[in-house]
Amino acid sequence: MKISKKRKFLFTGGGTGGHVTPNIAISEALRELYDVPNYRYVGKKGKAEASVVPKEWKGYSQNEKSVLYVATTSGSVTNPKVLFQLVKGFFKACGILLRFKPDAIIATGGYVSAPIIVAGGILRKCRLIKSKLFIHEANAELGRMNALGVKFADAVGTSFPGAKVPKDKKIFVGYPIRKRLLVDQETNRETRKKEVRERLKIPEDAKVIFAFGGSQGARTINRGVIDALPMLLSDPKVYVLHGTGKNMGGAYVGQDDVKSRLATVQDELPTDYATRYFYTDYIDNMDDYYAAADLVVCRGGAGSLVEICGNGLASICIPKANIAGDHQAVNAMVLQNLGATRVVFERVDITSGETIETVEPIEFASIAMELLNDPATRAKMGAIARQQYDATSPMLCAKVIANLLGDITEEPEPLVEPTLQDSRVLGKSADSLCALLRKVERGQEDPLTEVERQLILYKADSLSAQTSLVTPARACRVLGTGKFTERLDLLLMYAVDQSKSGFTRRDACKGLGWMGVLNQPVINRLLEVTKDDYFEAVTEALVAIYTLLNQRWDERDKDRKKTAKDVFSDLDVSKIKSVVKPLSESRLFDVRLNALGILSVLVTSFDEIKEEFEANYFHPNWQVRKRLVACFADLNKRGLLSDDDLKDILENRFLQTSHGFDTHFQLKKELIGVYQREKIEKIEQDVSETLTGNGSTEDKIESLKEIVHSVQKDDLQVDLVEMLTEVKEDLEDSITTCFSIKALHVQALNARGVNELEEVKEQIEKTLQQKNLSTDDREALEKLLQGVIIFINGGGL
Amino acid sequence: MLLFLAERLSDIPVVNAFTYTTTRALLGFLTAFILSLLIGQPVIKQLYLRGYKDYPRAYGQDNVGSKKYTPTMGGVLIAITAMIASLLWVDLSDARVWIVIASVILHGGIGYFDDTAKKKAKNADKGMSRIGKLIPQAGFGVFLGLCACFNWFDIFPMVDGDHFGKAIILPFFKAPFMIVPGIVMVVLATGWSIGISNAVNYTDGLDGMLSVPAFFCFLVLAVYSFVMGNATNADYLLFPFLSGANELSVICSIFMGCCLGFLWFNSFPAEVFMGDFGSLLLGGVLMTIAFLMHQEVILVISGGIFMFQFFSSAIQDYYFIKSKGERGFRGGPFHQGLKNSYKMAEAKIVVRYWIVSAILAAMCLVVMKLR
Repeated sequence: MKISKKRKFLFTGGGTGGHVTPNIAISEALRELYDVPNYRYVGKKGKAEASVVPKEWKGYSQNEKSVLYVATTSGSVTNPKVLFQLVKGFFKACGILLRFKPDAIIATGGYVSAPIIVAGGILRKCRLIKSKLFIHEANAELGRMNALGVKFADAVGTSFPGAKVPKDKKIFVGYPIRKRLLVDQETNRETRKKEVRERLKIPEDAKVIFAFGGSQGARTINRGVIDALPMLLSDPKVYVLHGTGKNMGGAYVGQDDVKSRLATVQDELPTDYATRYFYTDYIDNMDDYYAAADLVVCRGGAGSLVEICGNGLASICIPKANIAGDHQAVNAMVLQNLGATRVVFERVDITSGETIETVEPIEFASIAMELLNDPATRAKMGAIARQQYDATSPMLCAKVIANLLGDITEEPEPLVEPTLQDSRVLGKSADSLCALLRKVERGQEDPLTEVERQLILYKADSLSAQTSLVTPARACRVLGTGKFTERLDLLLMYAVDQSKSGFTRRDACKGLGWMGVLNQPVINRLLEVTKDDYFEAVTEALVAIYTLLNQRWDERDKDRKKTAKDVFSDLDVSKIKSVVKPLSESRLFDVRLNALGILSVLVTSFDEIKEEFEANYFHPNWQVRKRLVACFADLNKRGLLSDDDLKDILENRFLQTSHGFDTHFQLKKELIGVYQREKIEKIEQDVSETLTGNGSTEDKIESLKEIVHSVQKDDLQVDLVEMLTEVKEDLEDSITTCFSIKALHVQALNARGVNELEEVKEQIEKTLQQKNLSTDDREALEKLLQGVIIFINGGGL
Repeated sequence: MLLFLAERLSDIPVVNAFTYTTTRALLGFLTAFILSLLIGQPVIKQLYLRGYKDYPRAYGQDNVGSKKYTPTMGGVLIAITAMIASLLWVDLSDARVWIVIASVILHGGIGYFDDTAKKKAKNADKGMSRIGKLIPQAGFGVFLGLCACFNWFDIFPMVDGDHFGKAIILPFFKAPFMIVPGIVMVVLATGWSIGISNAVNYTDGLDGMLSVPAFFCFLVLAVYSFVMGNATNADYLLFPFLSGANELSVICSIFMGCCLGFLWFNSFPAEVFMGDFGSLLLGGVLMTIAFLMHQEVILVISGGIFMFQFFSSAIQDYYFIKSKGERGFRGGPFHQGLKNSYKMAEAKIVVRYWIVSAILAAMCLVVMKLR
């Protein structure tokens, strides 16, 4: 029973196909619900809506001019040009609304819908129109325009689980797609396939890949397909259908890119390739292509994936990274985990000297061939995909709108919103990724899984290819923190790339230091950076060298028994020295202190650097002197500086005061203790249970080690030694000593300020007096004591 | 209010002393200072309970040394004490007083909305939009400019045949440097209004770093307004005489008391921050008072710290764009570089800033005689 009331609906939204199709789908559903609905569409000239809507609405629009245009543009509102366009669009939108007086406005977001949303909201406040406003939000995070729109909206339909929309307006409706696009599964799928393939001159037993990157095209997919073409077409049964995307004002022209790319692989293609590879810039009849295809290659946008699911097709998904909460990657990963798609990540390619996002053609082609040659897996993937599709979405949207207008009384039932598992990686910014990676390294977070590692690499890759001044720098930091040695070349390239921003060069050096790969090419590149004009880049290059050298020493010879020559036998030490030496007299204090540090690591006798050091005993910046103290300790350990000399220098010739001073609030320390009380209580319980329980000594030691690890992980403010003394009485000595050594380590790490370090020192000395210590334990404790003393001398820092 | 009483009771010999500007200035100073100490703790408690706490910027550290959750918007304390002391000791019949009070209300209001936005977002980066701040500030500047052009409220009289409102007055020059057309004065006033209150805002970064330089600026302006409001002194020091301007010196000394009273709680390590409420308010009041006497250049010199902070930050931003992603200084505003890169202790940086601002203030006072 259709509703006979005459209603007027105004649709808006566009820019890309993804914003237009939900509107078309909703309009189809509304036509089923209403007798004679009256439609208008408001969009921007030259965009997707201008070509799609008139075609889709052919035949049932009452007015020739069903699509109207307003001026609008994306960009910051503070830009006068943008503001002018928006104001112009706003007035036009007011005119349209006042003339048409729609009963409901349906917006899918995007900047194109901004004038209508704002005008509608304001006119409604002035009681000039009585339209209801329904917004369909496909993304996880609201754009700025939609965040504004939500304030005016009566209801907001969401299709992304967990979208951030106010609860009272939110209704989960899924992603509405056009009915026409669905090739009916049960009855005529096979006949349709046959018919379409005949029309496209594809044999019936051919294996067909259909690749497309959305209405505007995607460079990664276009290039990936072309690069993989020789491998794909080497099988004479494979046919490739390719939608390159239509240029709609953006910088990227898919058609031209594909043509020029095709020329480069021409030689490797079989001679008959033209009969088996078709490409076109815009596809009207998507349903035909879906019907003909065995395998689809696409982006991870909600629209594309829902269409593929609806058609029950197997697919390879290449999600675009770092956009609006990583929704493409989330969509794709959810489907892959269910088994409905295969995800291939974009990687950066730097062979041409610039960073370009691309898919690895061999990886891509092999997955594609594997799926094409395995009909059973494809069928299974298709079936799972089909289960994910809910066909009621457009009708649900229509009912929500009808309910807003009061035409149907029963509340429409929203779809069940799937809950997304919280990802540690997806949707996170580069800085939070760095924080995560550091926590993982310190053991405060669980180790990364292989998938997570790949996802981080994927995100960092896409960041590194962006053109902004700071984003590639962030990528460098992520790559370095995560020790992604497979991207060493990228960092080496960025470190000296003068076309990149200073921050990028600086952070590339930082990343190299963190990555921990020490060989002559890396050192050479870092030495090259020391000639850079930008002071921070120079500093970070030196910091990286210093870190790498020290790290090498710690790895090969923790006790500093060998000489620098042995440890760095594979490096050109004299070259490093000759480049760094002039820098130790730099005007910039941080360049100077790192240069001094590097020199002191490389020398074989103190006399070599005596002069440089002596010049800095009274350096006005205390950080230089702090570095000298660290160098002294190191030289002393290596036996290049005797205890007496060290004492003489530090007490008689070295300025020991500084203007650096860190304070801490005692109250906050107590507070942290309170926040951690629950965890601490559990630790206490675990300790006493372990110690009093039955079990072999080894087991006890093992579980105690775990406890100490968990204390470290949560950074708990707990006195393990004290805890031990309470339950100590009848314990075997080996357990006690093992535990107390571990505990002292933790305490020394957590100690803040000289006073606490002194306490730790006393406790270590007390423990050392015990007679039954094993030699290993004694050694470990002595080392710890040494470290603590150095820290105390250094002022607790 | 008390002045009104004192005038009625002027027959009693001691009471007459209360009508003198200097006496009222001193008493106003003491009132503001003591009041600050008295109501300081309760105000801080209320601010904390209402959720006005300092939220770290996006990458703030979280450790025992961090100042996270220190109550903010302590500018309220300044506003309350200044208002009470002003109502007690200032001659309320003077229009200048009411313009200063309007300035307090307007700039305090902007700061209030800014701090509240930060509180709601729990993020110090998500305050009020820049345009939202600039429009009322520009509006106030236009108002001041119009006051000067059309001599509204009779506060910019004719001096020696020159239109004082349209005059540009520089140190070392006896006569006005030049007389500008009215529209130019409005434009200048607008720029002045926007520039100063924001420059002061940039200085508010470390404990006590704004209140003491502001104290010195108020001191300088108090002396200048006392001279300009007193016919004998103005004549002797060759300043234009502005009848009634001496009320501004009472207001200045009241704000000096407020600044010191606030510093009582704000000194390192701070129990309360002034927030945008305080920094915009102090900037707004300094700007207004300097404009009412046309002693803008003197404020620029005595508040050299503010200019330095503002331009170091602006240059840093500009340089970053110009050089395609490089830093000019080690940090912007400048104290960030000292703190984060040179690792200078916070208290040391602040005291050095104080020393510089004291020297600048002394220079301004010496310049007075050189005309």
